[in-house]
Amino acid sequence: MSVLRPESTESALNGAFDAVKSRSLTRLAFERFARNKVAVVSTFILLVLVIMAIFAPVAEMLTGYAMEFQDRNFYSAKPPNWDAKHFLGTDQNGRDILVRVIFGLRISMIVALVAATVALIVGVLYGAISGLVGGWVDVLMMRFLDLLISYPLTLIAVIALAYFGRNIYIVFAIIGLVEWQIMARVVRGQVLSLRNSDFIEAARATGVPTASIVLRHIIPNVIGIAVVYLTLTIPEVILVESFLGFLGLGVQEPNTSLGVLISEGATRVEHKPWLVFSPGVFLVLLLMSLNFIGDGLRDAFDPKDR
Amino acid sequence: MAYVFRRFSQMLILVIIALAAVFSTQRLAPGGPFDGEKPPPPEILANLRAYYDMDLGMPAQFMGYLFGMAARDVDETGRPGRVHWFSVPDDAKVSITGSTDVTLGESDVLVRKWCPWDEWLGRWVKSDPDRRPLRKCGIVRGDFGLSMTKRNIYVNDYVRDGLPGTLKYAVPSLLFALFLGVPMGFLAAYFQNTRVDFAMVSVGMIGTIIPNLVMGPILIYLLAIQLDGFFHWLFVDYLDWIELSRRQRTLNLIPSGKSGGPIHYLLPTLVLGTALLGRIVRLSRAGALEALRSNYVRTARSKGLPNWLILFRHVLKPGILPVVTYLGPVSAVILTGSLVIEFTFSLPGLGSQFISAATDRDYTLLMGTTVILLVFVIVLNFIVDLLYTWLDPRIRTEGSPT
Repeated sequence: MSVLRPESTESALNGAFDAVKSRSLTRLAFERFARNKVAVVSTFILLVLVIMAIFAPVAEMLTGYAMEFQDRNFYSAKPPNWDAKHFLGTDQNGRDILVRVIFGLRISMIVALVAATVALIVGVLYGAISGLVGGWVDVLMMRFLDLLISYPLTLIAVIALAYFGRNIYIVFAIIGLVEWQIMARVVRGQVLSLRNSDFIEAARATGVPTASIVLRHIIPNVIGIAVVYLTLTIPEVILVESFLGFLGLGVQEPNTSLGVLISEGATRVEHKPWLVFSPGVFLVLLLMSLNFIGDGLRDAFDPKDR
Repeated sequence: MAYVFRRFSQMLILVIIALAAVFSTQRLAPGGPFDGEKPPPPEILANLRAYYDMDLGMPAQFMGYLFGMAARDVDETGRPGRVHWFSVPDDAKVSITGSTDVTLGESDVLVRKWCPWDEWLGRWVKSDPDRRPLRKCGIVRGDFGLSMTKRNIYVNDYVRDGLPGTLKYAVPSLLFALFLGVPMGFLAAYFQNTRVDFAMVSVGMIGTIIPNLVMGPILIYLLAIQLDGFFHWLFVDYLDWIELSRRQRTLNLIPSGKSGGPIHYLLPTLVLGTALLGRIVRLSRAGALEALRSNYVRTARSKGLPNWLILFRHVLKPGILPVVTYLGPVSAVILTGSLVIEFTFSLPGLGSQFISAATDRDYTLLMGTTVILLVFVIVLNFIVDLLYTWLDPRIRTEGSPT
């Protein structure tokens, strides 16, 4: 091929080769992700939602209503009133829905992030131990996981929350412990395939100690896939959290979350639909964007799945 | 058969472990069923605790809960003492066997004469009416005990009244999701990467993106209120076909109480079914795609078989296999969805009992509802396993040691 290459185009081709060389695997994955229009739009939606959640007090300033403020003129759930700056109406106690929804979004996001991190830690540890130790430990742990997957952990979470749910950290932990099985399975699969790969074999052959093989080769290779599945776990966790909030468990007053807000309006949709639709739209947007981003990331980083 | 037996014993062990976990955590957790706003006086509290065997150690309590106990001796203060597990010796000073003479508070406790399933089976009642009944029958004999907060109601009665309301939408919604989702997935696979494919997958996605706690209110608003209002306008005001007052509905879509016809099933079935639809479409699409690419389908095509015959004879079975594997986890989705439906439509059911039992520390009620819901999920998983081995013979050969 190089024989046939004319002098005049060599520089241009060199440039092309440079460009090809500079693209790492991660870079390629991001390019694949950027080509996925749905995922990019979802990223923007998610960014807007995150900014709203971070700067939630700004909503209080703009509308002039604090989250806890009970407007006497707007008791018992009045529809949206733009003159009074109740842009999405008020709830049963005359509190502004827009402000409450944004604060609920914030709590839902915090719970989701922390609980998903709990799920990540538990899942990665479980999967890594199972994959690394192998043997009968692996068999036992995987059998246990098989049993757990066909098991309504949400019910156990309901019981646990009813008993210990006064403390928000316990809420985090309990919700996190519902959704870690898929993560564990994925991590175990990755660890197993890494263990049998050539470069680990080479490292072992050259006498690298096991600890540094794990630290230097296995952990960095597992992190990528774990993060991808973390983005897929977050919507699941949000769903669990809103389900528990819907049942009146989890986050306690004065805090609120999207599920709690939905449950306040769900039975009154006939006469007061704005009570449920405002938090509902936010929840759907959040779940939708997270789902599409997660799918996009998985397709980008793990293209063999398509 | 050995496979069935092994799966069954696994399930049984799982149920017992789960029960032990719930049983011990709820008793170790802070708070108890009897410390409300107005705690009962100490002697009544002691009687109550003794009646519910809470004065015993945890293993004895759990044994009693599972297998029941024949009787307990009366000690010198008149309170229950030593436990007789299986039979009552003749010289025992037994008080609480058929009735109670221990004051348990304002309402006297009803004590069941016969174990529920024994009564149902007709044992003992006919043969030996004088036989001394068990004090507690245990859940193996179908006795879930008395509720701890409402002390004159049996948990069995709660379950009997609540369970149909909780699960009556499960089967219709599952059928809805299967009979709509599988054909949609097959269509999507058959027209892969066309508009049909995209449309099918997107319609399936709607349910996964909109969680059922939002889907319920949306469907109530759209169908039961807006569509109903339109029909009202059309048939009552405009066409003047039927006589209805302003407050009556043309379609009684919102399920409430016992009144109404089968149309009540529509909304809850849609809410539950759409939640399952997306996964079923995806899985059946993937299964059908794999089958369509296989060599035997190519052979069938080259033989000149018509497309519908190929679909039914060669693609259907491998296509629905992934869907069948998903049916196990589906039971948990259906369960949580049923709870959501119960709350959204304010239906009487086991879910609200479950939640209130957990928050009120009603140990027996919570255990009873948990047992029932767990057994529902686990039995469904068991059936799915059997179905799967029946559909896919490879599992059977893998499972046996030969």
